[in-house]
Amino acid sequence: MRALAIAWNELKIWLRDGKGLLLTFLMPIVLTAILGMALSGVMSSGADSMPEMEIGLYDAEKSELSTILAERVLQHKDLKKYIHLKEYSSEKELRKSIQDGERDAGIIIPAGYSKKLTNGQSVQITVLRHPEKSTSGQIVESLVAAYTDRVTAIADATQVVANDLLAKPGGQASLQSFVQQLEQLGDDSGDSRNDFVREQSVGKKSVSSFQYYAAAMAVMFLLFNSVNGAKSILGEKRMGTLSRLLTTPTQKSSILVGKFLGTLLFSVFQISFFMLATFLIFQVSWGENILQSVTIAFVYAFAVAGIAMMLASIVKTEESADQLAGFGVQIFSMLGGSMVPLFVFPEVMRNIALFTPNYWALDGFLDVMSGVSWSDLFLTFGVLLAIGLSTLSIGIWRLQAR
Amino acid sequence: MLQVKELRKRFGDREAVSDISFTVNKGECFGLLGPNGAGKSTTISMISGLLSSDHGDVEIDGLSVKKNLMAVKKKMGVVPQEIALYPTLSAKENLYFWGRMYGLRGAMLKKRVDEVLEIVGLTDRAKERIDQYSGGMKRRINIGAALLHQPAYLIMDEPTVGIDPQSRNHILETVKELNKQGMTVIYTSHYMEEVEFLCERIAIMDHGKMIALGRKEELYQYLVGGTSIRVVTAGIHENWLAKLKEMANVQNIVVQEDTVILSTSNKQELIHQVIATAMDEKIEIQTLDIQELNLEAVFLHLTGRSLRD
Repeated sequence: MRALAIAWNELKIWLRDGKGLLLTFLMPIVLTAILGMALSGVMSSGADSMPEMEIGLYDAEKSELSTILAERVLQHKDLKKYIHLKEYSSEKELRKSIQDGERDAGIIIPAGYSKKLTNGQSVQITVLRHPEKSTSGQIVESLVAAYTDRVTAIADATQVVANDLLAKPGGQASLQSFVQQLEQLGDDSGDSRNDFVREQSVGKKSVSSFQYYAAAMAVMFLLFNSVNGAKSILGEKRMGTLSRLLTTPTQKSSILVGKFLGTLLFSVFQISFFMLATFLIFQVSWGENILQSVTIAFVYAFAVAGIAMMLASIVKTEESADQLAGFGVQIFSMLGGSMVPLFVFPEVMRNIALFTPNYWALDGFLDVMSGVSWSDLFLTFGVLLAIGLSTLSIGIWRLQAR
Repeated sequence: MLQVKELRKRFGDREAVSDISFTVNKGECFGLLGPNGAGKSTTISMISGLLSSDHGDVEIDGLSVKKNLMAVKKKMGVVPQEIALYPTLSAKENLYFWGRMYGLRGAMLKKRVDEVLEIVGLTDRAKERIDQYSGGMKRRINIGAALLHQPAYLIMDEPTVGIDPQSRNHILETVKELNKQGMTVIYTSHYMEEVEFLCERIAIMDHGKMIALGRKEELYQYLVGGTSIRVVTAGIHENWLAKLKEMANVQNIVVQEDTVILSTSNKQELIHQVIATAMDEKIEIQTLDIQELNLEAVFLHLTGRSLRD
């Protein structure tokens, strides 16, 4: 009961902080509006998930593999509406078209591409980018890299298996059947959309820029609560209210649970308000199954409140916590995709993002928006709950010992 | 009855409290007097269970603070030295919160909040935020928050620091009244007038040690045959001070800017000597007075220092 009274008190104090409220409730809405509108070209709206791109191609080889790349990958039925492909007869012409701004990006398939690729040798397709259309260049690069990787993998596998089969009695017949299967696989390599495209739309629907930035801002601003929650405990220490609480017949554990619940309650309140506001103002859809979004919001708020407890046990003063807020939260937000969409980052950055709680929350929201099933969200729930529980335990353990 | 038994507390190399023992009887107002840094607040923190002692224990009505902390806390109301309130909440909201922390609920909580607001004289300002209050009003609510559960023991740590005389008087009168109604009070302060006004028995602390304990009259006994003479000058010379220190009649000497306080057992002779040496050294004496018996003089007598040093 006392823990609930402490949590309620905490919530009241947070709601009385005018400046804090402005930052917490208004800023994310304003930023969603700015970023959602500014980047609507990159992410497009409604059902689209990619910008339309003018791509040039110079194929110096005209082999089967290069044709598959041009016709079945770049002009795949799912990509055709985004990629407007034009073939050029020389590299010079292609470069000029990019310089003139006629094309956003260009692909140069070198002579000997197929031979080198199937022999397992290194071969490079050059992707030219217009400096102002870097996103298009990155998308094209991803598509080409995914295709090249797939063909290389098939070629390597072929070589290993063929050598093995030929070494065995009756291997010739087996080899024939294996080659047939490979031919089918080779056809499929041009058919499937690459990883990047799938990353943008895991579920049935794609995510608009407003949806992306609504989720991104919600996640980023909620992360500030981890610092604010820690500051609240440090502030009570400074004011002497924490010592006073300890002179009352209230268990230390009740005080800590109360502070945790206070941060959790405020975070839930903040994100609920934000979801409702973005829905009403920008018609942002938080997914067909709103219960999924609410669950993501809750487990993320839980993780944030847990982190707050851990920070309070590590940081000594409110000033240090402020410095952490100014620096740490922004780094995490950047890494977790709240500022710039993760798909423009190199893979190494996307791997680092896995260590940030906000990445998981954002990923979860985007998944819900794209219409995934509950089972697709279990990993997100699990990771966020694990972060919340572990940080809460560390925080309570360290603060109890003080 | 509250019994403090051989309390000891060390912070690093510094012994903040050294083997303090005293007893506070039920219904008594007990004073803990000493300059800043004497160890009063550390002692209070150990009594209220905020700090664990390195040695010794505190018993309240037979319950050990070490063994029955929660039961002991229910009997105590602690008024901390700082304003330990939530500044953005109103006085009433603060009192409701602290009442809940003492286990009060529903109608009882409401009744007690109203009563406490009445006691501290802030019923008509109850809905205002604490950060809009004056220092004195904050102090009054700070005390009120410790009274909500009607504790048997009220422990007050410098409750009047930094407030105006009017608020101070209100607080002192309130404490006196609560004590009259049967509440046991432990009052710490470095203002000897407050302790003298409120308390029957007093412990004087200095450098973590208890240097005197007893009823006021018993403490004044330290000054039997002794007096403090306060000399205010237009400017002190080192030569004159050296002569004063050499006088056989001077037991202690304290210098505060242009004022010299001397303790002696022979005031007549000392006054004569002080005036004679001042004339020799061309020191202009502005006032010279013989100080009455008070705790300040006792402290000076015992330590050679003023309470406010």
